Amino acid sequence: MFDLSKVIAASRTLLAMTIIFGFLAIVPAHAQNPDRPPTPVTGFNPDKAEVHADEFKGGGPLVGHIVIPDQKAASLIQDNGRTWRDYRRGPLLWFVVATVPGVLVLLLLFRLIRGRVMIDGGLAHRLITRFGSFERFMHWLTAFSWLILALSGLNEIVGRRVLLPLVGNEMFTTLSTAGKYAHNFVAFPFMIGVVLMFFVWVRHNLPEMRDIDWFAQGGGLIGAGRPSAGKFNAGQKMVFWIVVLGGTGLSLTGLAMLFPFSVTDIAGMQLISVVHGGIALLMIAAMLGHIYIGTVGMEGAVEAMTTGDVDLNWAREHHDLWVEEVTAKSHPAE
Amino acid sequence: MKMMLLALVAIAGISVVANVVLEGFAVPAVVAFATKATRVGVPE
Repeated sequence: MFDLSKVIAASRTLLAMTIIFGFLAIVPAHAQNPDRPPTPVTGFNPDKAEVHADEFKGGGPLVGHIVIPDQKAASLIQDNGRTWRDYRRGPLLWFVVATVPGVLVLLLLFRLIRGRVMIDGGLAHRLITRFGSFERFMHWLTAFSWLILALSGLNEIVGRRVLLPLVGNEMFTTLSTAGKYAHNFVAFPFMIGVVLMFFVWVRHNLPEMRDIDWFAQGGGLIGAGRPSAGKFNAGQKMVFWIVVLGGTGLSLTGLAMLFPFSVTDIAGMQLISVVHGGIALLMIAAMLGHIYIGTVGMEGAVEAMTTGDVDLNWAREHHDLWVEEVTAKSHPAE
Repeated sequence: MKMMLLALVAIAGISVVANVVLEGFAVPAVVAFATKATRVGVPE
C-alpha cells in the first residue's frame, strides 16, 4: 500500500542531503584554508584566481612527496614554466617572422636592387674543379640534414599557426609526429656533417687581413669591385664559422634536450630550449642568404656543389688567389 | 648530383642507426631507472 509518510520522510532526507552537499561544494576551498581569499568555483576549466596561480608566481617550485628515484617528478607547480610558455607564444613567434619571412623579403629587395650577380667576363667555357666528391658529399650531408631539422624545428614553433590551418588536424598530426622523429634522429647526420666540414675546411677558413678588404668592397656583391679571395672569401668564411659554431651550439643544446634532465634541472632545460631556438633561427637567417647567393643569386656558383666544376672566369672573378694556387700546383714553374 | 643522392642515403642510414640505438637501448634503460620504485608503502 502506498505510504505517503514514507515518501515525505524520504523527500526530507533528500532535501537535507542536497543542502549539505551543495554547501560543501561551494565552500571547501576557503573552509579548509581561512587565509586564502574566497574565490568562486565554477567547475571545469578554472581560471588563475580559482587555482591561486598568483600565489606561486616568482617563487620556487611547489614540491610534493614521491617514492621513485626521479625527484623531478615531485615538482607540481613551477612558475618559470609560465614565463617560458609566454616566451614561446609571444617573442619567439616574432623572432621567427623576422628570421624567415623577414630575410626572404630582404633577399627579394636585394635581388630587385642589385639583380643577379653575373660573370663580368662571361663564361670561359673552361672548367676548373672546385670541390671534390667527398667535399660535396659532406656539404650535402650537412645541408639536407639542416633543411629537415630547420623545417621540423619551425613546425615545433609555428606549426599550429601556419601548417595546421592549411592541412587540417589529421595531416598535421602525421606530419608533426614524423617531424619530431626526424628532428631527433636526423640531428646525428647533421652533427657528423658539421664535424667533417670543420676538419676538412678549417685551414681554408682562418681569418686573414685580406678579409677586411673583401668586406670593405662589399664582397663584390655591392659595387663593381672584385676583391681578391682564396678558396673561400670572407663571406664564405663567415658562413663556415656560423655553421661550425652554430652547429656546435645546436648539437650541444640538442643533445641536452634529447637526454632531458641529464645535465640540468627544469629551469636549465627551459633555458636550453630558448638558446637552441635562438641559435637555430639565426642560422636559418644566415643559411637563407647562403642558399640564395649559392643558387639563383649568382651566375656560375651552384655548379661548385652540384658537379664540382666551375667556369674558369667565375673562379677568377671570385677566387682569384685560389685559381693562382691551383694553377701553380698543376703547372709548376720549370 | 651523385653526391647529393649519396648524402640523402647516408642521412637515412645514420638516422635509422641512431633511432635503433637510442630507442632500442638507451631510452628504455633511462626510463626503467627513472621510474623504478625504491620502496613500497604509504609515505610518512
